Amino acid sequence: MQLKDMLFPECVLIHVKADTKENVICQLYEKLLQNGKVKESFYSAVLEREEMYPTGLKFEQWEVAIPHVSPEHVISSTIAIAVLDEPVEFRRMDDDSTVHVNIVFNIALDKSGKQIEVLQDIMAIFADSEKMERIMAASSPEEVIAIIKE
Amino acid sequence: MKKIMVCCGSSMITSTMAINKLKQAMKDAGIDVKFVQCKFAEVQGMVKQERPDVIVPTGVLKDTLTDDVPVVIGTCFVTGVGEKATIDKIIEVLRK
Repeated sequence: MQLKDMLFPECVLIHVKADTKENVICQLYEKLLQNGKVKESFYSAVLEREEMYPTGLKFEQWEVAIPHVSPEHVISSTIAIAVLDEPVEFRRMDDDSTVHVNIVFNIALDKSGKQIEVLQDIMAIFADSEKMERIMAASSPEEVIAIIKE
Repeated sequence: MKKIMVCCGSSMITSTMAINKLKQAMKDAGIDVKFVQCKFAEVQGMVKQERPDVIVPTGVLKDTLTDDVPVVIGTCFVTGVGEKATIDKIIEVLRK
């Protein structure tokens, strides 16, 4: 299973309005749960992990976050995506400061996926400023997925 | 033989990414290394057992766990941003 097999329009949210990272993660969790992708334990497990091991990342032009958990909370591998109208604050993975995140990829992987390849593919998207700009400007979940799959 | 301990949150994904890149970098630098991989939660015990020359966590690690072993944060091996500088830092620590 590759990244392109883990993208579903019903789990991609655009023009998301949220004040906190908890709120973004909750909105994504609701979609994942409704669509049978994760177990009920997913939400609190993601928040707990985010507290202990934050996932905010700073790229040259974009700041992003990749909240995730261990596979036991996942039913079927899915990358849930939130494109935010206004950035929210996440703590950084690599130091004690914070980033202001415009795009959140909530990575729900079960045990079967090619996890390393999936993560590398996601990082390649974050590093591609032109692609990121188009994702930010996309007018539908389908368009976001099409840009990622290119 | 030098020993690099690479660790990450839970699922061994980001630490495996880091090891893949470090293997090649150490080969290029001509440094003979052995890798030890563990979860953040296991660091304290593994440091005592393995006595690595350097610890490369893929995220922030509490320094109370590392028992004075030098730490070089390796988030760049996940993102691809700033790998060269981090590799240089690791090599510098190993050659001391």
